Amino acid sequence: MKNYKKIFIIIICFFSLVFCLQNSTILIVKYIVSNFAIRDSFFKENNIYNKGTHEGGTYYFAKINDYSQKIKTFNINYIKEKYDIFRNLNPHQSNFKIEYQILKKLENLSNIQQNEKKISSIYISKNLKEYWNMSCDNYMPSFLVPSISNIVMINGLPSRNKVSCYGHELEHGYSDYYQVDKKYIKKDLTNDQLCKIVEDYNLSYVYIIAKQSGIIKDYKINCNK
Amino acid sequence: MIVAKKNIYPEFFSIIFCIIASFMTLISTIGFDYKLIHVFNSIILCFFLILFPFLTNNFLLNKKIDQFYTSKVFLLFIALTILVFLSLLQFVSGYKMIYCIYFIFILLVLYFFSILKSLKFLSLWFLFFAAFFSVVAVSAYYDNHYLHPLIYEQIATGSWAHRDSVYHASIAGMYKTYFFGGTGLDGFVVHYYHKFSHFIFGISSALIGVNTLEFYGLYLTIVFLPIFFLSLFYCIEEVNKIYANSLNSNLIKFNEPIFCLALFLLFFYPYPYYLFPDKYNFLHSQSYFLSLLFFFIIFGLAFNFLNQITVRNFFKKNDFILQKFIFFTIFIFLFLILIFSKVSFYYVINLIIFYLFFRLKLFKIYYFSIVFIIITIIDFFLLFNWISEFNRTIYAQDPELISIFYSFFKDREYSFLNEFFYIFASIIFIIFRIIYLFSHKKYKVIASFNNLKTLDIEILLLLIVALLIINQEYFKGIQSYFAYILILSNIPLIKSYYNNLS
Repeated sequence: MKNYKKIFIIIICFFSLVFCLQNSTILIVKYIVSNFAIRDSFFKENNIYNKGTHEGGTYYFAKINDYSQKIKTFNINYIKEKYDIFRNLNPHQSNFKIEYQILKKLENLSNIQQNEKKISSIYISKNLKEYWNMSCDNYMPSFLVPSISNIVMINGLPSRNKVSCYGHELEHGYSDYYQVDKKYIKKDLTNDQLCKIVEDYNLSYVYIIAKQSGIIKDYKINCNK
Repeated sequence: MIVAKKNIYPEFFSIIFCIIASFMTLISTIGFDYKLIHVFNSIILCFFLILFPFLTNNFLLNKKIDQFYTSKVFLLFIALTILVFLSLLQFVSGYKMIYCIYFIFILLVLYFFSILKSLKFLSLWFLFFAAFFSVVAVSAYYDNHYLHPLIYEQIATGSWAHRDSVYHASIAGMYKTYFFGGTGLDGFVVHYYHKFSHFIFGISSALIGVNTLEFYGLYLTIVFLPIFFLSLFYCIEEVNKIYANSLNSNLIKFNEPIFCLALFLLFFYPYPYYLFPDKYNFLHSQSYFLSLLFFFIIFGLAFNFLNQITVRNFFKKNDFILQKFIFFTIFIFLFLILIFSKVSFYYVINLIIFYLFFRLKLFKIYYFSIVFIIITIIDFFLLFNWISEFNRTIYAQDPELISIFYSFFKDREYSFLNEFFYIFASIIFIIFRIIYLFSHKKYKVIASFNNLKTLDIEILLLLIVALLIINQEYFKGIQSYFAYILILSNIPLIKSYYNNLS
């Protein structure tokens, strides 16, 4: 009788292990194929409805499913073919080169000295559509400056009239700004207007990122002068 | 009291985890511009957090100093405190404090090699297990597609780049640069939220020299995921000592196949993963993840203290006054950290503390009474000054606290099956404990209740009932991790019970 108990426990453990290994395999495969899907996305059409979460993420998940199928069917040739294409991928010459350039500029700004960073802010020009259209979620691009550069943004709230693929427009801290009467300002601010704002926050510099003659430029204004 | 002092399996597991996570990051980012030095800094920082508790503990035990502050779980907390201290020093001075970590790391490595002969050597199969477990855990971190090692590429191409990820990285970034708790979208506007994890990850990213989004996307898996499991192991070690003392079972061995199997099954689910509504939330939510890490530390520390009471008659000796004071101060500090990391812990940790206080009649000991009063005052202060304001602005209606308490009466978010899988681990443990208790011929239910032998079952039942009425995911999942600790720390008992079946 006691042996039956042992056998029962072993059977339960065996099936549990099978499920656990299955879960693990799914995780590992998803991790690998998501890498392929992101690299593949550089070749898709660059438009706002194709970027971000929810409807914007349809292409990404289609690619995830596609690559998962290829792995399930051991279609190694397809994977190898794609790998060869991705090996020569240059994001600076892709359909998303401007977006990539903006993100890299923000990354560079994150590397400035802490002493200077503490008294700096960033302003993104409203004409820089590639920044504001980085996701179909209208409320997502605003976070790119503070999250990548780790520098506070000036006038970084998005327009509330624009269509968004993801709601929750009062979440993620947005209502904090609306409660203190911060608003989206459609027109670009002048240097004087920017300096007046940052002085209230005891900051000295404003880094402006804007598009001039089709080229992304960033320059610094010193509000102490 | 000094047991398994040369047991290096938890540290070994964490080191393997760190190396595997680094490899996965490097391989994932091939072809793009990610700097090797940041991976290197992350590895050194992680190794410091892993080696500091173990080697300091070893050093102090060799000097015959064995107190609660020499326990590895406490020293892990000290290592995290050093990390915070150095980061703050960097914030104030502007000097790169990672070089201090390098220096401490070199000292630790030198000491490590000096005691190398006294360490147990490790089995090859355990290496493979640790490596496989790490690959799965790191993959699980990215499972919801909110983050990816190719974080810039994910955002640039809009490949499910989620608002949540950049939102959390923004809060962390504001702490890192300005020591300010907001999102930084338009100047400095305060944001009410449980932000302790953002503070920790923000300042850690400064130490490594990366921005916070990169830290969340790449380096968090290298630095903090191994520490999460290390804190779990230390907690299990301390809980296991209590069971070993009271039930005369063996001490836990982390390299035993049955322990590894249980660990693997519990964290990656012994059933199709979509059945569990909390799937990999402990890795997907960085604040939940950090609060669980501190949950393991606070429990490990509490159980270590319980060991001190049973072995040394700690509370009856006057020469421990300073130690008592330090312990309770740290306990209250950790209690606050836990709540500021994830507000759901306010409910859970208070439930456990209140239940234990009355069940163990701790009010008869004046130290505990003082601590209990302090905790109650803190609770009321937090409730009216922080939690009641918490997320009020998000919903622009009732504060979240009220909505949580009303949630029971609203439509249930979880099906019966979901609810079952939330309490699955607790039920497994309760069944095992009941079978174990009834396996003794002279077992009496009332006597074991009076002798506190059913205390673990009572707390789990309390959590099951208390969390059943809550409709929020980050509340409900906590009981699973509590049950995991109990199951894993009872592995020697489970093993001996299984062996006695034949």
